Amino acid sequence: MSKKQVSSFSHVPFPLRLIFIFLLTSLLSLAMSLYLNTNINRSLEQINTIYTSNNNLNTMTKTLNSLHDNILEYLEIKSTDSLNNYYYYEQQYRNLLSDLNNQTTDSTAGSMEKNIYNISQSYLDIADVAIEAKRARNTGKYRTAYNEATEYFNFLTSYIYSLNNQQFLTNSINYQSLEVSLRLIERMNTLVTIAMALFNIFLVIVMVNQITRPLLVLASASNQVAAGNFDVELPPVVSDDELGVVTRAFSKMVVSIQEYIEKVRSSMKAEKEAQERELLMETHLKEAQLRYYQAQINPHFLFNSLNAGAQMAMMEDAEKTYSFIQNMADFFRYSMKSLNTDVDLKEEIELVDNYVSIMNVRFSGDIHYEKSINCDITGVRVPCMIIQPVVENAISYGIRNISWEGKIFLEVLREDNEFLIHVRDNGIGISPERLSDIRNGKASHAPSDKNSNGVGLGNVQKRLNLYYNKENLFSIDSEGENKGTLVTIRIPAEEELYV
Amino acid sequence: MEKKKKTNYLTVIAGLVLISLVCLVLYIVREYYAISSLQKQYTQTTEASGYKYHCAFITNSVTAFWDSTFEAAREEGIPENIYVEDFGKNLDLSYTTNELLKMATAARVDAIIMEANDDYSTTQLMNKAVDAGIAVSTIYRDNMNSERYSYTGVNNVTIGYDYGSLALKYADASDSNVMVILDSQEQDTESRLLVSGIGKALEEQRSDMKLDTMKLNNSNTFEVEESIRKYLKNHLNETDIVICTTLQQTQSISQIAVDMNYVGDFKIIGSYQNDSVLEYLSSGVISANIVIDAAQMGKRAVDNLAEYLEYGYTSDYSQVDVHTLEKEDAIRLLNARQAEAESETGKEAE
Repeated sequence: MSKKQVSSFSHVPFPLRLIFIFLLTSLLSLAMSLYLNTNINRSLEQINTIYTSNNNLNTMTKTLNSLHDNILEYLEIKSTDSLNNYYYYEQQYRNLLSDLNNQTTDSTAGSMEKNIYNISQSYLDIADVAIEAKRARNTGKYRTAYNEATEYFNFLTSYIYSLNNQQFLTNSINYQSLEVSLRLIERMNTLVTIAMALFNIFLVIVMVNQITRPLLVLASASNQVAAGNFDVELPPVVSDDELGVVTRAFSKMVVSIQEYIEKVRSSMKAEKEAQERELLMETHLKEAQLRYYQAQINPHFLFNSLNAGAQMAMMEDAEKTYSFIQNMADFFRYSMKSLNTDVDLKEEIELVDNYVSIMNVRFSGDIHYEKSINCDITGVRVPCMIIQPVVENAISYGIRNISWEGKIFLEVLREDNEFLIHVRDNGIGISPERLSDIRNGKASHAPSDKNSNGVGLGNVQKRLNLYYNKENLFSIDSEGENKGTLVTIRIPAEEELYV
Repeated sequence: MEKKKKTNYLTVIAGLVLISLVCLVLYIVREYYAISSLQKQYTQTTEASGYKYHCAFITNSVTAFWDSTFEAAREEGIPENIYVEDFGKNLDLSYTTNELLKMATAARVDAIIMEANDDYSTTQLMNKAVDAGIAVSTIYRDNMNSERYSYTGVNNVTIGYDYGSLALKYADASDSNVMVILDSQEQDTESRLLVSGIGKALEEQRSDMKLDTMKLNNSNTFEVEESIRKYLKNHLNETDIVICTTLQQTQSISQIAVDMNYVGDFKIIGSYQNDSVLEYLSSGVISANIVIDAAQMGKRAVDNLAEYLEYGYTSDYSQVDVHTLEKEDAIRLLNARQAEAESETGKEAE
């Protein structure tokens, strides 16, 4: 079945199509019955006509007999009835004669008819003579005429009888051939019935196939979907009927389910990633804490000892010592905070202040520290211990071993949606090669120095990334060796608000 | 997969149904043509030709001789626009010549060619037909008293003379008894003329020959054979030559001669011709035969009629040729017939 044929019925509703099949087969059967009936009727008509000629000749014989009887009766008793009958039958007979051939022909029946016709004319003439003679009471004449008429009558009877026989023979032969043809017609009728039944079966199969095929395709697709295969090939919509509607709805449903599944899958993936990130962050924190604990000898003990030292310095009026020890105590107190927590940016800056003052005591005030806060940093929350390691790094690697005066410059400013924290030094700087290595993560800048508090720049960078879930929040720049280093920390302002 | 299977299954059924349907339709078309041709056969009527004149051919004899006469007459009539009807042949009852004559007159035919007789009633009827405007002529047997316009046939004296000559030809020196078997239907005049012709021929050469006649009733179909058998049984020694004037007599006497082992005891001079007569001739049972040219007779009768219808007159008497058939002729005819039959069989076989 071609697509074209399918589409020609595609707009027809389902029930109408079923009705159409039923009507079509019924009409075909009806047409066939009519055809067969016509065939049979025609055959019956032929049978009826086949012996018509015999019937006509029989009628002729009867009429002739009646006519002759009435002539005799009239001649015998001269009754009016018989005369009237004579005229009546004479007319009848003449009418019947008009159907006969009266031309000379070489066909046997034709020439016999002509003889009958002419003998009949002679008979009627002589009969008329007899009747007239009877009226004129010319006994001799009507007797002679009647005898002659009787002779003709006998000839006619014989002729009609013979013709009748001959016609009967011919008709019988015709009847035989008609009978054969009737039998053939009967057989043909049976065959036509079978052919029609076959055609109906074919039609029904084709149409049912046409109707059910999309249904089977749909059922197969449904089965696959039911089995969990949503990547099934969607059944094509070949019709605009109810099945088309169902198919379209099914396809839409499958597509929707696919989209929904995709959505769920991606959201699950995102969730999983978030969980992984959190887990990683925790790992880093734990790592930092571990290092921290390893690096410190019981900070509580140290902190309590420092507090005792500060009180002692105060009691001894050693102001500078008191201030130094107090700074140390504050520094360590801050350090004891969990790295897992977040703090105010302000606190972070204060920690840097403490650290730098401690370091200045250690290095005899060689470190020139300046800070510039050019924006409102109130409420800006940042991960704990992110600036101090940078400053420590600047002191340890930047300005410790330089021959000129070492300077550390801390600047906080706002740029669009970010707070920028710059830690700049004028130390030995970083060669471009090494800077590239650092950026690519090849060179370790993990603290190995015993002076370090244990938190490296890599740790700071990772914590920033994890905390804000963003990359490039930490950058190191240097114009070259002996040209200082600039470390920039970017704190997203929106995150600040969010937090 | 399941779907594919289902589709294939349906397609196979549909295909099978379609193939059966096509075969069936082809068969039905064949049947239809068979029925059509049968019905055509039923409806078709033999083409009949029309004629200007209707001629009734009346004879009371039913023999091969008359069949060939009529057939020749019929064929001759076709180009002349005359339909020659074997009158009364299609009737289930058999009628006498007079009755047929009456019938033909009542049937208002244009012409009558009839085997007549000398009866007065026949003459009357013939005259009545002539009065009714019908052209009446006689054939083979005449009625000289009637008003018929022409007679086509043989001269009995001549034919008798031929019989006599043949008898003499085959007679041995010791043969002296000649028996002539006459047909009872033969009119006396005709019989007399025939016998006188024979007598004349015999007298011319053998005055010692004794001529005898026997009249057999031809109307009784079985009587001829019985009578001849009876006669031969009683008079075999007195019979040297037998002259038969009809076909039936010729056939009967030949059969009797063979059956009773009389062949050679007497000579047979026969009349007319058919297959069995030719066989008897070729085997020497019959010495010789007199054959009237039947076809010529029928033909001439129609020719005369055509002439009469056209011009209103024709020759009063038209003589028909008489042939003699002897052993050699019979063998030649039989051979020719056999060759013809063989070629026809060959054609049929082809």
